[in-house]
Amino acid sequence: MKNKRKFRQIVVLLLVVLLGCAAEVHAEGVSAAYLENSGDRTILELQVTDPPPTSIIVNQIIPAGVVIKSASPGYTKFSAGKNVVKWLLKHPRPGVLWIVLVYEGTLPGKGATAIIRCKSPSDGTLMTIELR
Amino acid sequence: MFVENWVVNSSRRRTIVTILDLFLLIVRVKQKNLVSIKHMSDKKSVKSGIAMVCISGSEVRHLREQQNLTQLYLATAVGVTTETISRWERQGSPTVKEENGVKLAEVLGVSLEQILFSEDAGAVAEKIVEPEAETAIRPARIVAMALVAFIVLLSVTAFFFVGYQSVDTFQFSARRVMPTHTVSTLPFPVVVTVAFVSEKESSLLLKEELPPGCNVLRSVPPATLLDRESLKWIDKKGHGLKKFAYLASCSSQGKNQETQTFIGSLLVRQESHREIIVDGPDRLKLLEYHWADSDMDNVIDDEELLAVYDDFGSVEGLGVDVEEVERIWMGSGYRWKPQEHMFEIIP
Repeated sequence: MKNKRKFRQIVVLLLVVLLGCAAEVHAEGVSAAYLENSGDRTILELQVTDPPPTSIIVNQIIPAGVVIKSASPGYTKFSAGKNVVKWLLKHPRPGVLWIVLVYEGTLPGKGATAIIRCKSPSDGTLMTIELR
Repeated sequence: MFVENWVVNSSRRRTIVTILDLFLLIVRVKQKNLVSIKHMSDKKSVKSGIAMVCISGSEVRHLREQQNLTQLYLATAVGVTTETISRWERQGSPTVKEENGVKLAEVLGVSLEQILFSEDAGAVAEKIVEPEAETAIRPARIVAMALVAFIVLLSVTAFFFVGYQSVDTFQFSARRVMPTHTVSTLPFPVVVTVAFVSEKESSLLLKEELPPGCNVLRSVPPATLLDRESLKWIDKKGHGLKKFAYLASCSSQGKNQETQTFIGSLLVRQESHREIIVDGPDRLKLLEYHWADSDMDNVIDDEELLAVYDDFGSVEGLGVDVEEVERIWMGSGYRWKPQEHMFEIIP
């Protein structure tokens, strides 16, 4: 009886940990999570640690056929054929940054996905964060 | 004294000198003691705590033959073997136990003094003492040699100890970051990062030598000495992490895909000086790809753009055309136009 209870507790703990990992992914220098990713907008939250990386590139892949109404901050590059919106964030300050995309219409399926890249502030290795 | 000249300006080193001097003092005291032992043995004639005398072998033989005694008889009476009696008689002045000398004299019916080796009284004393003195000095020499060996060992250990301390307070490295290729005559950046950790003020001399056909266009901080193919920076407060950068260009001189080799060295001067070769990439090929396009696929991707910012973006005033790299990144690719001598960006 006691063993069953312990087993359940461990399973619950593991689920909580896994859910936490899924909700927010982080690499050295940056962590990211979608605050909203349905309806007519996505809000991507970036947390930049101290010391910050030299620069961050944020790629958001939006579902085909979705038209962007507005972006804040404004994106750096949009590849229409690949539906990839890019932001180049130079010399980011430590703290929190929100990237908001508003669409004409609603997002189908699971919404947008994101790939965030930066160089590790400590050793210069490439860090990649993928949000699906 | 070598040790005193060598060990200077450090409390640790002074401690080593003190220890060495202490041992030298011990050696001197030991030597004094050994001399005292020798003088004592002159009077006592003691070997390992046993009183010894020097007898006259010929006198023993003469007295024995005079009384028609056999060597076996003497040996039995004294309590030694016949070989021992024979050896005593053959040797001119053998050294024997005083106890055996007394017994021998009794058997021969004479006093001990009569069978002692007696060229003269002084000679007797000397003959008695000499082997004992030698015996006393031998362990003393061993002790002295052991002490000398110990001091040598200590000196060697101290040398490495001081050397290790120098390394510990004297750590430095130099690493170059540069592209693997560029287009002939187009400028490209080179950054040398110097890390130097020291407890003391030190001066650094960083030297970069460019291959023939390459020129320095700009340097940050401005080089102390600069000619077309070499740069020297002298930094008198060389502590910490510093970046030395320059913008250069190389011409192919008619040889396409020629590999250019860069050589750098870093010299650090404190009490002594040490020099290392600048680590990192040192070869550059002249090709028709942008220097930031490290995989040479005519596209500058996210990683390549980040590398430009990370490696060269932090050096202000160098004049790296990061905007051009960004423009290429924003496009879908680029191609080199030799006639126009520029990159065409593919939208």
